[in-house]
Amino acid sequence: MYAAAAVGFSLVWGIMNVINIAHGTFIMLGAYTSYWLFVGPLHLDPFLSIPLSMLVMFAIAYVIQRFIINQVIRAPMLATFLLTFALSIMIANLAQIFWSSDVRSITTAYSGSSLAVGGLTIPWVRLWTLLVAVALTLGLQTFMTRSKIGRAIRATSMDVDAARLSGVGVAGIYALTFGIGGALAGAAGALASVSYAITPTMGDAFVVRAFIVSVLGGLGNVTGALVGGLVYGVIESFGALFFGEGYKDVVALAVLLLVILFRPYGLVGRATA
Amino acid sequence: MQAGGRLVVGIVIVLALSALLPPHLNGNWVHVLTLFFMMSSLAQAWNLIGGFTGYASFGNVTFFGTGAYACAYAMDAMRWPFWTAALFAVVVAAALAALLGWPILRLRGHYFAIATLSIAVGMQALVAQQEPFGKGSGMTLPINPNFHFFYWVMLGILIVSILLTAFIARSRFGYALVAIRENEEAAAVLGINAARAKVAAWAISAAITGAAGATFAYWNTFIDPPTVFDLNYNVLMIIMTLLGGAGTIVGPTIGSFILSAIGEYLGAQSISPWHTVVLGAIIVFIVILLPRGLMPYLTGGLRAFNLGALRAQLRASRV
Repeated sequence: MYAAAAVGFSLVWGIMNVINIAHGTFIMLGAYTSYWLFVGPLHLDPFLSIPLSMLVMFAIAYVIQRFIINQVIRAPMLATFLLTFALSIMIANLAQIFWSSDVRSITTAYSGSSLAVGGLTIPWVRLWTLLVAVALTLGLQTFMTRSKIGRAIRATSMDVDAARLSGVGVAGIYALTFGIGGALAGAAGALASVSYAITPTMGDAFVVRAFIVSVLGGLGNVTGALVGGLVYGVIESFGALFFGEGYKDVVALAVLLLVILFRPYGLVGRATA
Repeated sequence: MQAGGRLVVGIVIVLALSALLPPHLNGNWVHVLTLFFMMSSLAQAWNLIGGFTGYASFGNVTFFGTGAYACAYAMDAMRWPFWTAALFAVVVAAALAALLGWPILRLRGHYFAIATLSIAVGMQALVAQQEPFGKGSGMTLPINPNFHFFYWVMLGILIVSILLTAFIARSRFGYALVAIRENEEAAAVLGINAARAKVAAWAISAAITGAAGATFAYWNTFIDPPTVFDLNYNVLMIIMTLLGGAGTIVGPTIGSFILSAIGEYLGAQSISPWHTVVLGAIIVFIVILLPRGLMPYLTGGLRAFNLGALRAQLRASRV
């Protein structure tokens, strides 16, 4: 789950050098999209609504980048940081105004069931979440390395002016990248809608974790984000085990600080990357 | 900067005169103005590290919380009088900044922002686990029914922080900070000890923030981790500073005044979702259209408005 939340965040950060604080609210919007499709006349299963949720969030993120964030994309980093923060509080509060702050949840037929392997029981929902996260990550990785657009995106991240000279429409590429980040947030939201309570502020917890996971995995490193997500989950559980539940966040943030200070290029990255 | 100098002197005089106000105001206005002085002091403090030195700290609220808890502990457990406790809080906050700043201030840009952010969140979680600080349920302080007292103390902190900023801006130390902001390598080549200057700037910033935190604790008589380590304080410090003008002497106070006035107009007493949506829209407006804050307009009047320059600047910042 953390991996799914972090992949899009890491992509936007790595390619565009934008820390998208609003990523959490995109996840929240994705979760609501799944929720409305589930309670609506279609009664669509959250796992089946992933593509729709991704499409909706792609469109929203694309427009936001094209018309708002693009205005300050070359300004100092504090500008984009504050701008996405402002967008996130606006989106979260508009959601609260229109949908109220009631806690909603999705209960499917398979919600309680789990797979028993030896002495372990793994809830089906968790297993499917993991599979979808892995599939999305691999799909994105393939897209970025094999397709023409993926190559254009990577070229833009290396040198904006050189990419422009080679005929890349930079503004469009940025909007596309942000849109893909949004789509991944939409997918993460659809996944979250099954196992987490759906509220307008549900995204906050994901942003902090997306931060940590992205740094652990190395910025813009898509597969790194997947590895970082798994590592983080383990660290958090062990932190809770050894120091007590209350210290879970302290341990996680201490790990983040140490990684930033000693391995800022991530656990799996290289210094020259 | 003749006009700028006159503005600073004017604002300090207005603030000094406002010390005479409390007997003529009702309780609500005393509260509103005390809060305004506090937020202005926090923004002035942030400006030293974020505006002059160019290090966007998301961890300054840590020193607010630390100051509040140090003061509460000194007054509650050790029975110290407020002034001694506040001094203790200032020393603790500045020492913490120096200690954290040594490794953290080597980081730049996003990494510095994240590191400071995680310190702020981590400290809140850490303090919430400590038995002497009442764990998550917080601490209570002796009650001082004289609310004018807090008005004067916060006002004093604000005036001191403005005068300190004015003094720093004209000193060798201030020039060193600006040099670090513009180009840290070049500053080092010029013989500036960048590491020491940055840590000193953060420690001074933390001292002011800690003083405000200590006064807030005594004023509020009750503190708990989510209240005094509230990240919204940190965000407000930044927005107020940017609105007024980062790296200027009184910009943060002006930004704080405008945001406080807007908040009061919208009914800040009950923070509604619409209030926050409007705040968000204001931030978007500031970030895109006022990247240098209001300062050029305050010193140059409407002559500073130049549509051509604004469009050129927008063109340069987008792709």
